[in-house]
Amino acid sequence: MIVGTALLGIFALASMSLTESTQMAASIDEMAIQEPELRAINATDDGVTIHVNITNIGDENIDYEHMWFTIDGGEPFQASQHHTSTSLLFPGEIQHIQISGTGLVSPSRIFVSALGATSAVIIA
Amino acid sequence: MADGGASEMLMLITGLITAGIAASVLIASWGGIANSIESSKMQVEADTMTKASLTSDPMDMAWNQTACNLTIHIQNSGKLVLKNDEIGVIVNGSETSISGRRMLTSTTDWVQGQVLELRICPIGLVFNPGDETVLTVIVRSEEYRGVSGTYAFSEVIRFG
Repeated sequence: MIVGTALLGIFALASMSLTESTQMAASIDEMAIQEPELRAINATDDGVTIHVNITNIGDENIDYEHMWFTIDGGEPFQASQHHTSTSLLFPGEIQHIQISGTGLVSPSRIFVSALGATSAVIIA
Repeated sequence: MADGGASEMLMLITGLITAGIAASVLIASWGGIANSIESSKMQVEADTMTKASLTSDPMDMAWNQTACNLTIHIQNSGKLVLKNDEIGVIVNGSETSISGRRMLTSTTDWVQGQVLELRICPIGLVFNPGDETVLTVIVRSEEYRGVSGTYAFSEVIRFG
């Protein structure tokens, strides 16, 4: 009787473990980080301001606080420093961002990154 | 008859004791397995939520051979806070020394979206502008439910 009870207990615990493992797999899948996708469409420089058009080509909203620009390999700066009218770049949205005050003469390349998504274009 | 009854009773008692011990051992070992599974689960969760990525333009990395200084910028692209004093950087398969670090914003915690600047020296390596090599970065998160997550990424970079 004791052996039978013990075996039943073991089988019950094994079933609970299987259920828990399935739940764990599901919860870890929910925790997985979804990487956004973005693209710098084009960029121009009028001597004072760099104009860059960007778009979100993924499924995730992109926060401008999480988006960083780098011009000609310099120090990155947040997109939110130059774009304050909205806080999120929605999927499919195209945004024109004006970057001024960089002090750069004839910049040639702008690189943008956000949480693992990257894109770059030549500044015309 | 009496001898037979005593013998059967002895066998029954021996069997019960043996079964009880076996059950105790099985239940104890099950407890160990359950703890092990729980610990693995915590580690997988922490690793899943730990991530970092390169914010610097990999095509144009700031490199000063004379000062042995490569400046890189790394963004916390995960969900957990990262430890900015526990980072490993490998350049072209060689270890590096970190000479400086700072957050690019006024924040002190390396939270999601924030960028850390690292000044590193790839010990004993010589690079010229235009050279390309592999940069590997390993980061560790703050503790999440008792465990730290780790994440590593590699990227080809070109020296400017």
